[in-house]
Amino acid sequence: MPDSTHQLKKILFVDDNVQFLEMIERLMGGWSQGEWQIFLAQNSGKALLILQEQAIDLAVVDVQMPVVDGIQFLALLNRKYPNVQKVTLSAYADDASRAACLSQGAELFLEKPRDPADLELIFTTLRELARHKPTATGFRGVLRQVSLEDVIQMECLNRNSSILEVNGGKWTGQIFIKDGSILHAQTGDRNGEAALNKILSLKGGEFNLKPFVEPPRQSIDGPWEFLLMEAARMRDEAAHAEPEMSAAAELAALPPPLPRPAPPVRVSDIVPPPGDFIPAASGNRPSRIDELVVCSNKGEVLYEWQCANNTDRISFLEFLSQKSQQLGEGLNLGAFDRLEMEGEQTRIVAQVKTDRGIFLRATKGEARETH
Amino acid sequence: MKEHIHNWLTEKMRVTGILACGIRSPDRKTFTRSVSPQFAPVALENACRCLSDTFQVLNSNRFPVELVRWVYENYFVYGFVRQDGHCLAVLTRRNEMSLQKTDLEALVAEFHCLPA
Repeated sequence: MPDSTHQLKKILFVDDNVQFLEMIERLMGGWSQGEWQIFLAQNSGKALLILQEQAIDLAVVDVQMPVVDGIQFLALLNRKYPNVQKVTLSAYADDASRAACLSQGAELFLEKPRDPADLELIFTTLRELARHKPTATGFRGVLRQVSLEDVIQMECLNRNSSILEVNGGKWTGQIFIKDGSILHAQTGDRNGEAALNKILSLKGGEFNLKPFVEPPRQSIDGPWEFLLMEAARMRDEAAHAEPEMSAAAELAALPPPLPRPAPPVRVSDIVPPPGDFIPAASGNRPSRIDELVVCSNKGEVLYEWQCANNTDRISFLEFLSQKSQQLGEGLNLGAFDRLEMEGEQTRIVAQVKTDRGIFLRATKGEARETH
Repeated sequence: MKEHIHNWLTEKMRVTGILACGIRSPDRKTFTRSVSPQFAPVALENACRCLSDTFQVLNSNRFPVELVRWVYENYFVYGFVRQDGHCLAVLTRRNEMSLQKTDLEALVAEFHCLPA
């Protein structure tokens, strides 16, 4: 009998191996004794449809899937459904895949079981994880919304058929995808590529995947890769051609600017000293700041200085936000403030708050002297 | 059970300021000790896993750091990693009762010499 203290959990398994999915459903369905409702998807497109219709608690994703692999799917899942707990299964558990999955929001990275005994161990681990619903507060879960292009790309790569309904304020539109090809788009009185480009140029808004029905007509017949590239090119051109008034209006809508650090800034000014094992820069030479990124809780870059890869840094802040909650769970450590990291030559401070994230990397003073 | 790791952690719990500590080996076995039931073994194992994940992700981002410090409202969680992948986690208060810097440095030096 299921434990009445536990609510029914909705668990989604995504794997291209049908036999494996059937085994999971049969064995784990039995072991869960009615505690789990199991959903199965053979590709990421089908998984997205299930995620849209069901309040999934935990998604278990195979890393090695054709077309859109588990890591790509995980990245999408992390942005569109940040509150769904995520676990990856892999037959080849190498360090690089493991780190990539963890970076993209996986709570756990597990090796694919080779026999039913191993599978039962995995079931126990997943059951504990599913029972423990993470809190959806703070930085986590609100970073970077998934883009429309991401979803179109995934639907086309998976050769799916669906309708993408887009609502961007006063504009609404539909994109019809059949067997991985974009057949038709419509918005207002526009149809075809003009409509597709308009929909893809909408800023903000929401979109939903709907089951496919035949469009009133076929207005688009080009390869989807070309269509997306063309839309991106037109967006770039439009952005460059926008009048100064528009840029000023956009600036006015931004949050008030943060005070700019006046370089050179000493890291010891930013890393508070009390009880610090991570010492202030040695000697008289201050540390040199190599890069700094400040972003909003939606992942918009508010300020950056010499950052080679904003996306990677923001992904790291997302990872940090997730891990800081996990680490604090059960230990009652209080609110998380920051993570300080130190290597032979480098010092990094990363901070995540409900309204912002900061990533700062500096070269130690002593390292500067010897190099 | 790696008896020497178990014994070393038990001995380290006598160091003033250490509330809990744990070691996670590359084969994902975790050993933990704490001074209080407030820091349950399951939660400490989870903390060690988070620490190990962090070092791995930092490495994949080409930031090979050797030590990290998680700063919470009331506590510090220090993390250290060896070249063979063993991770050490140390929990201490964030106030005057905190672990002394010299004690922590000695602890880390011993951890680096601890047989695998």
